[in-house]
Amino acid sequence: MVDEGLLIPKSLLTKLGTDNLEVLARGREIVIRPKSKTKQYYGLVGETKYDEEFIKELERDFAESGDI
Amino acid sequence: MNLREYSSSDQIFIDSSIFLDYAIPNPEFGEMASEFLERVEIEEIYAVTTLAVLAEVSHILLLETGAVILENRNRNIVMDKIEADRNFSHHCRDAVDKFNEYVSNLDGLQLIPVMPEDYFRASDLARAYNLMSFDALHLSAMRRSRIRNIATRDRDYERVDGIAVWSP
Repeated sequence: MVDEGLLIPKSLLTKLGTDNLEVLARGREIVIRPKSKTKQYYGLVGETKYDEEFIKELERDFAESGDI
Repeated sequence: MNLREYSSSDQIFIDSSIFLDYAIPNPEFGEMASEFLERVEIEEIYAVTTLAVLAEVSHILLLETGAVILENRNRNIVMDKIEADRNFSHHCRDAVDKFNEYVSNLDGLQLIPVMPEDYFRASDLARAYNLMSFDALHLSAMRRSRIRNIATRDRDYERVDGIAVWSP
């Protein structure tokens, strides 16, 4: 255990994977810590391309459907 | 003001644009939205939002996911398909479920209610500051809860007195 996380041998990282772990330093030894939920869920929609115009259209739709 | 520089202990209201930049994600602003939300997660920042904001984000994520699956950005086609095809609708809702799961893990985020008086005051605020109805509703809930900071990319809030706008 080090201040920022857990020190592990490089060989263990292959077994653990990086889906839920953040790698802080690479070298002969590696420091890992759990990924924050924010990092885990980033881009949760999946493979897409952000289309500002389309998003704006959807926002307008939503606003108009609940007009005050 | 730059969202990255937000360091106040006062609560900040999160608008839909921040959640959308994070979830879809926006190549220009997504990383900064993510950094901000991570600070909310670890309770370095205390934030609030309303169910009205979350409903707006969910609606957009639902249709965005549908558009991705269909490879078609005609929202009427996507909406019709969601209404007509239960299986397709389930797939589209996966992104909404993930978003809800994520938001419920944000320890520094508090949901504030939208009260009937917020709704009635929103109309006056919409007139006073030339805001869209939902933006005025968010503002009304903020004012009642004495929240003076907002995280958003919506420049319309810059017209509002007594509100500091923080943008990525």
